[in-house]
Amino acid sequence: MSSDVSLSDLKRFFDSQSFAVLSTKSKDYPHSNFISFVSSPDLKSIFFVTNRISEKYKNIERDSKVSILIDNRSNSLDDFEKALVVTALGKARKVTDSEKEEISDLYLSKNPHLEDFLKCPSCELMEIRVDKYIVVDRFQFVIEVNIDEQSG
Amino acid sequence: MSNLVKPVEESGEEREDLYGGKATSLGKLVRGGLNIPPAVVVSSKAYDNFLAETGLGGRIKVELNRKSFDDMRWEEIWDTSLRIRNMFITTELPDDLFGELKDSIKDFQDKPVVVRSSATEEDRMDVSFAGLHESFVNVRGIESIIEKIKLVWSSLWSDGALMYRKKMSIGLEKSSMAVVVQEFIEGEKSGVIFGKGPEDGNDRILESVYGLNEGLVDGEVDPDRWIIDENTDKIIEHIPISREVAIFSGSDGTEKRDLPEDKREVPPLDDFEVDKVVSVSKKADSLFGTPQDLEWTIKEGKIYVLQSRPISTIDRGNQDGELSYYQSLKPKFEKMKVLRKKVEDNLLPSLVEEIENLDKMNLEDFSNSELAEEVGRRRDIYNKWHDIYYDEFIPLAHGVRLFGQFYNDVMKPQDPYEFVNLLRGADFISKKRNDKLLELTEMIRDSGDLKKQLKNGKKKTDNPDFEKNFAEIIDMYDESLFSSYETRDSLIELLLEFVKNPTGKNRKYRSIEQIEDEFIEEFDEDKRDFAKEILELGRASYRLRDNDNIYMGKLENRVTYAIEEGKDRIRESGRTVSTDVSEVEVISALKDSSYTPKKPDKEKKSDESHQKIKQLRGQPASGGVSTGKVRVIKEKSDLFDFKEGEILVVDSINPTMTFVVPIASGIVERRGGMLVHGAIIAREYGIPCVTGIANAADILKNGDGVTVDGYLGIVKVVEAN
Repeated sequence: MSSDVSLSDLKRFFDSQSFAVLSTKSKDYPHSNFISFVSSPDLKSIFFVTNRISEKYKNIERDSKVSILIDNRSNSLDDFEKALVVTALGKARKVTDSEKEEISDLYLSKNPHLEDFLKCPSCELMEIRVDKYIVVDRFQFVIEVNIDEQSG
Repeated sequence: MSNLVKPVEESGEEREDLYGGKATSLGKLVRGGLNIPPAVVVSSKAYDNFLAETGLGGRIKVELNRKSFDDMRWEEIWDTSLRIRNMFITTELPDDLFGELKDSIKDFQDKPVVVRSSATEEDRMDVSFAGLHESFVNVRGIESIIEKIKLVWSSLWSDGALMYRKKMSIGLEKSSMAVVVQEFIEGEKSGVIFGKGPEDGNDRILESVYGLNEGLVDGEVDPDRWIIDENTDKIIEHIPISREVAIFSGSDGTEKRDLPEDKREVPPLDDFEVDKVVSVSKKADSLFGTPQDLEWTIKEGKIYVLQSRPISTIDRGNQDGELSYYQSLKPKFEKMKVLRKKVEDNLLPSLVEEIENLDKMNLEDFSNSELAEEVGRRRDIYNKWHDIYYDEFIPLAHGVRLFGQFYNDVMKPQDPYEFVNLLRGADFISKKRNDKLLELTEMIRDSGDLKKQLKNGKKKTDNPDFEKNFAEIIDMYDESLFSSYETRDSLIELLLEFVKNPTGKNRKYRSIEQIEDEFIEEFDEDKRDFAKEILELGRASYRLRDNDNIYMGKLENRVTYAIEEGKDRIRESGRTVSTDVSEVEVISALKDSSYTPKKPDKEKKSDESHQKIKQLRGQPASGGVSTGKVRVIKEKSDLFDFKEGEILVVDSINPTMTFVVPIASGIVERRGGMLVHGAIIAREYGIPCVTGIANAADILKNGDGVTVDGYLGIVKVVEAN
């Protein structure tokens, strides 16, 4: 998929991965966390849930710019050849009440085991509006996918 | 029939992983020509599909990994179980699975059935799960059967089953559950027969009761017993029993009723019937090639085998006690009623009497050596009650659990602890005291003049009403709480803290009557009395558990008084005594006027770690999020330093400490569990609470800024002091 990454390839790839690493901007250093996520069918958004007392939530409140890394590494040398790593860059925000129901369904369709977390009153459903994806395939082969150009 | 549901006769041994031990045995019995009631087995695949399709499997995993199993108290494991059970109750079966189940059990539409567990690891030779998983007798209607199937599934995660699997080193990940749905045969007499006597390993033992054998199996009805010679099949001995009650079927489920007079005099089986049961037992033994523990019933002269399992090593070996311990975790209504009566009518009044008798003594009249004896005697009294506390008072907490489970089955609430609301308002001592404190707070709040007098540290105010109530409150607390403190000043300071906080004033409860009505109305007219009875038991158990803690605290104080008197005398004789000197040292010094008590060894403090703890995880015990400064309570006197809005951090809250809760903004407790005092009172006042954080009172320091998330069970350190 290296030279002609299509959105449907990416979508399939995202659906196959349970976890991602989210990086937010704290006052001093970037702050990274492990999260469960789901992406919207058009790939314009990535959704996740966080507790309002978490560092990442506080960071996002201060600065909404985030990056999220989704990969299929197996933690072996084969990864040089086989791992696909996608970084999404975008801005995060709270999902509004009117959008919540539909997005919750989408989130639970991939993460049904996190129902209690999603419904927890101290948690927020968050959206990352993706500006662009950076796709790294076969170690160092890098392409940038501008989400608006592709879908437009 | 579907792939997921098969007649039991088709459940071959080669697929025990799919049908479980019980169904596989039943299949073998049918194929061997024994008479069993018509039955189908819902394979473990249905369970697996349910978990996979609804995401329940993942949710259970998340729940089980909240905290290491090894670090959990039994109460926490019970809570975990209750939460999982509630997930099963509130998760609907996917439409296609529901349709398939409905279709394959339609033959039972108009017949009462028994729904039994058939776990894939159950009834093996080396491990017995007898009685740990659920069974439901006399279930009517398809929807109701499916509901019970879900409950049987959930019993795979009961506290007893979880702990027993851990004990027997059976992994959780492989656990799955098939379910047998069997036509219910309402036998006139029933029983069990052991192919080989579990006691001596030789003779066959037969036990029988009138009615159904549910009472026999869980020990509520004593059976007649026959010992049968292994070689000649002749009766060696019949051990009769006084027959008074039996279990019969009710409109649904079963009920214990008095046995009619004419049956009390006659054993349930005559010799001919004994022979018949023995011959079935022999057949089963030879069919399986190993002695069987067989449950059977007789209806209209016909004998039915209900289930058969190998007599496992557990039955014979010394591990029997282990299994019965885990079985005993399943609370039984009848047993609880008896225990309640014992505690309420007998034990608590004797404990109160014991305290009163101690109070009649004037320790000052004792000689030094008499006082030394008295310290030892009081310690013995305390130890005796401490044992009773563990053997009788703590098991009484099962009454609350029994009610909780019952409530959840009926109401299917999203919050598995909604039932706690109904327990509130019961007649407790600690609640009365706390209410009285709030009453005083209101009085101060309403009178600027009174407030001014108190603030100015006046020894006595000119408000007689306040003074009267104030005296009452001191009386209600055990005087000991204030013994080492300036009683009046410290309590007034605390009251002034209360005045700053409107929490107690503005809190609006959903009325208890309203919740109670909603609960009772869920029942048909003829079941309401039972519902009320079980609610009453839950309340009594809740109240008694609160009160017994208070009395135990009082009794412990009586030991302390004697020790303190001893210390005073040693000091008066010119010897030095440290405040934390041991009881044994005090006794020695009282007996020997030349002996100086040794100071206890100070525990070495471990090296300061370079790690900083930022976030702690425990059990979510009361919903809400709040941030405040930590106040660690190590001694009772620390309570008087408590400031409005602080987070109460404590090893374990006892009822004598709960009075500061109305001005706390959160509670963190080392002891885990939803029914510990911290959790109960936090829910009562609607403040966040996290329990089950090991060493909470050591890790968190006074003045640390923390956020308590009572929904997720998290405590985050936002600003270390």
